[in-house]
Amino acid sequence: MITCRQLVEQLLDFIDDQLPAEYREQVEHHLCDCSSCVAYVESYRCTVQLTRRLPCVPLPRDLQAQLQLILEDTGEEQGPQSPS
Amino acid sequence: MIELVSRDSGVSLFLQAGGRPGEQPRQARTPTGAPPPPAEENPPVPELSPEQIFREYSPRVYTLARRLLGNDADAEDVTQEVFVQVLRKLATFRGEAAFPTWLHRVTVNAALAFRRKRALREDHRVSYDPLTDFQADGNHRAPVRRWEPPPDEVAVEHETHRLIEAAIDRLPEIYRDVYVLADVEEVSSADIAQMLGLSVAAVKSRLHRARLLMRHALAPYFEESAA
Repeated sequence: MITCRQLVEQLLDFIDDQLPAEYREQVEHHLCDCSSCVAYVESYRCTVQLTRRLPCVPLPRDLQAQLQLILEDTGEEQGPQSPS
Repeated sequence: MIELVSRDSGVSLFLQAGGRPGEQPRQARTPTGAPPPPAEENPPVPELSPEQIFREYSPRVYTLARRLLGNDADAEDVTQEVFVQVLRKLATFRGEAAFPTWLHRVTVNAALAFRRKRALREDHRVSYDPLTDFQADGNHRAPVRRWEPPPDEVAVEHETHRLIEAAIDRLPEIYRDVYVLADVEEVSSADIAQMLGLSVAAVKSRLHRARLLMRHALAPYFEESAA
């Protein structure tokens, strides 16, 4: 049976469902008997899920103003264009 | 399926047969300013006006730059640089559907170039090694506690985001880059490998290490109390 450390080393492929069947079975077999690894796997997944929920950072006001200026300058250089 | 064992961490990685884990994509040029995208890449036409690009994409560019560079001032500089590049090329774009991917690439290139220009030597030593959580026989040193996921309330969610952003800021750059692109921006490993000039195997190895570091950083806030 694989060790806890060996299981953790394969976690990335395990949660992405990219482990070959034979290795996947070893991991699942280990999880049947190891509550620490079950908790570890869940927390690893949770870390990824929480990160994926991060929102966009709002643009600072000064930066918005700077980008607006760039936009206006670019518009002047390119001349009048019909809006898309 | 090919199994590779990373020298960095002992992580086992599996790659689809026919992939090219050892192939190194072309390195980004060292710029005096932001590097333009490679000549053979045809920037895709977004079918958007400059105003729409500003409204829809500038927050995303800023957010990505902010997370890669770790501070507001540098992120603002890079965002402006990227915006100028995009607007400059807009009139010559040809139509394709991959504008967000192209914009990712330009932003990452600009952020990495900015970091090189800044020439700050970051200490790559990590204070915590996740693999020291295991005994010589490979078992956990101590029982691992389950996490209580944070409730779905606005105030708590804001605090959770703050914790995660702070943890990302503390990641060493080599792990932060991959983590931000993979788990925040959800860019594929193959695209990340190209952007950063790494093999896919190296991307996966760094991503795994980054996730372990993030897990360790967040555990004190989410672990169930000891019984």
